[in-house]
Amino acid sequence: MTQPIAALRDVSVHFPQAGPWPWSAALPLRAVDGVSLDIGPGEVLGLVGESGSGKSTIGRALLRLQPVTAGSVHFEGVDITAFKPRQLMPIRKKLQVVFQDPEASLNPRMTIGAAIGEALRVHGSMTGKERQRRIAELLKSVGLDSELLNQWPHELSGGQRQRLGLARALATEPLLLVLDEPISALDMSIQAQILNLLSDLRAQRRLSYLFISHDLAAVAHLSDRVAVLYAGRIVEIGTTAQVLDMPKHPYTQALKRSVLLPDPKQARNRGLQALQGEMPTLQGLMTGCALHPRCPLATQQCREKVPQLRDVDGRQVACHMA
Amino acid sequence: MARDPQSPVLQASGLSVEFVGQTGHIAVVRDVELTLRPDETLAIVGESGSGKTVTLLAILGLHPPTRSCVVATTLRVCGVDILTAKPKQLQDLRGNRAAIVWQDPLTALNPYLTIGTQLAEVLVIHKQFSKADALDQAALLLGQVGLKDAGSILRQYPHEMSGGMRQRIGVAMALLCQPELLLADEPTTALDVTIQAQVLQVLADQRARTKLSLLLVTHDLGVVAALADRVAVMYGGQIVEQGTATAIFEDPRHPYTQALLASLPARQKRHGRLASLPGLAPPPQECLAGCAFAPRCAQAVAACRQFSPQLRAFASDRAVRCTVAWEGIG
Repeated sequence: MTQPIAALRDVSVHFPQAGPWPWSAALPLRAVDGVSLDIGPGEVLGLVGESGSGKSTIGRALLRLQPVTAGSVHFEGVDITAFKPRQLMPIRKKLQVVFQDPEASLNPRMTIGAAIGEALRVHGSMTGKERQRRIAELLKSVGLDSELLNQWPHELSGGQRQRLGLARALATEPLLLVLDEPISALDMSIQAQILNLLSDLRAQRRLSYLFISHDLAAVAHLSDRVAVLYAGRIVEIGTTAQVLDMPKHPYTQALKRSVLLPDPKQARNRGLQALQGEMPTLQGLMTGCALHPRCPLATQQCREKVPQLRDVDGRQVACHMA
Repeated sequence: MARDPQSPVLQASGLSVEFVGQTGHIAVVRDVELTLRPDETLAIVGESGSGKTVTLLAILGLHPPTRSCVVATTLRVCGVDILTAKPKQLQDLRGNRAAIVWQDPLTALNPYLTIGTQLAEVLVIHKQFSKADALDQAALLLGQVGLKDAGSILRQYPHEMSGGMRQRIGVAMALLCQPELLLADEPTTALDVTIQAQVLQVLADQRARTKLSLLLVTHDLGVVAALADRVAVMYGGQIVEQGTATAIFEDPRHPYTQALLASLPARQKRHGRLASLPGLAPPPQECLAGCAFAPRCAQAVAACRQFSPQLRAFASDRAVRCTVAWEGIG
């Protein structure tokens, strides 16, 4: 494989938590534990998992918005874990983000033109005229009318706001976009519009995406490779076909079964097959595999020893029983 | 009161809801027609702003009369005429014979009261149980919705529960009085997929256990496919298509239903292009002349922009509101 654009090596993110009393030992919340992943040039890596599994924290760690407790973050082969804000400036230009809720991520007091223009002003040395032309270009590339330039975010619909979020992220001509649940807040018919736009932009600009989502169908649609997270660890990672069509980890299998197919015949044949129980709290020490209390295959070994990722049929799986 | 076992649990026709705003009345739901028979599950599907939740609230008479205007030729729930019923009759109906499960169980539960107090209250008020009997019954129901250790849950507060547990409690609370009709407004939207499957399993079990009619409001076509017998698709405040779940998914006739199904990644070839609907759903004040869907419809003809089509039945239990689709049917 060619050199990855971005990589995480054994990254852990722990959040300190106060104990019940001032003198009791504080057990950290282990949001992300020992995660390694690579994103190649032009590649889309899907990151799936349920709420609290650490998806967004991984995205934030990669963006250097969240300091890591252990491990290292690499961009274009350079270790940027300890970079100072000034050193990060040129990296940030190539590494951009689109958040889930465009309402919260856009400044309500900035016009649409200003929101995009700010990125250009901070990261470039354009004259005002050049900047105006570029803003119009960017709006067009995400399917927005350039007449919207002087309007305000609240005048846009959810789908339009998400397009604007994309235009702003693309302003600095990034190599990699972290997409944190970019379609979850949108209506069904609008989700398809944004998914199509994401695949068009990727093809035109040879972009890489870290596509964070809980929507398995959307991830399957857009991603080349998929990583499945559970309780802060990667439990399975491989190509989309390997992981989502023929999953080997019991959690990936359960996740796939839980997804409701929009097809009554299949839904009835298959019935509802729910994985029992819930994700454990991530505070304190956990012995063994995080899934063992819910896993139908769990053995004594699973309760005692944390499974490491190993190669199984071309993909990597963290399961003693796979 | 003896009732005909086949008479519908819910019957609504010509149901319209207008909100009274500063600029005048805005028609949010227009001419909705719904029938729900005993032991049947009907799903209302639509995107945000299509009027599905407003319809649900109107069915239980929950719109405040000062700010809204609800009219209908028929609106009967469990034999009660909602529009003319006295407050006492409505109170006897709601939570008792017709109960509701809300989307967000955290806001639906009172944070100041223990789970036990909130559940017991329902039985004390509607069934004149003693508090102790009510708590016993509540513990039984919690067990039925798959919550272990009901005794300690009853003493706990809502914030101590996870989202999945809270939604199970919401379902248990709605089922306490053994209602004939259960309404559920996006019951699993706030939940993770593995938890969603658990809660849907609970609903399916309850439906099998008791003769329960379920009216499900959702935007998730996967949930619809898993539970619904019949489906009503809403767009711009109107029902645009109605039919059995199989018919709607396999042979959609309204261009909106067709486009919606074609836009789902799960139903398409991977990495291919999704059929996406251009534009946006119209705000209610703009649905005036012509078909509400016409501006986004690829099949629209001149007539669509001039005349509002009626919901027309064309087979047993199927109806569609579309001028173009009728031509195909003949």
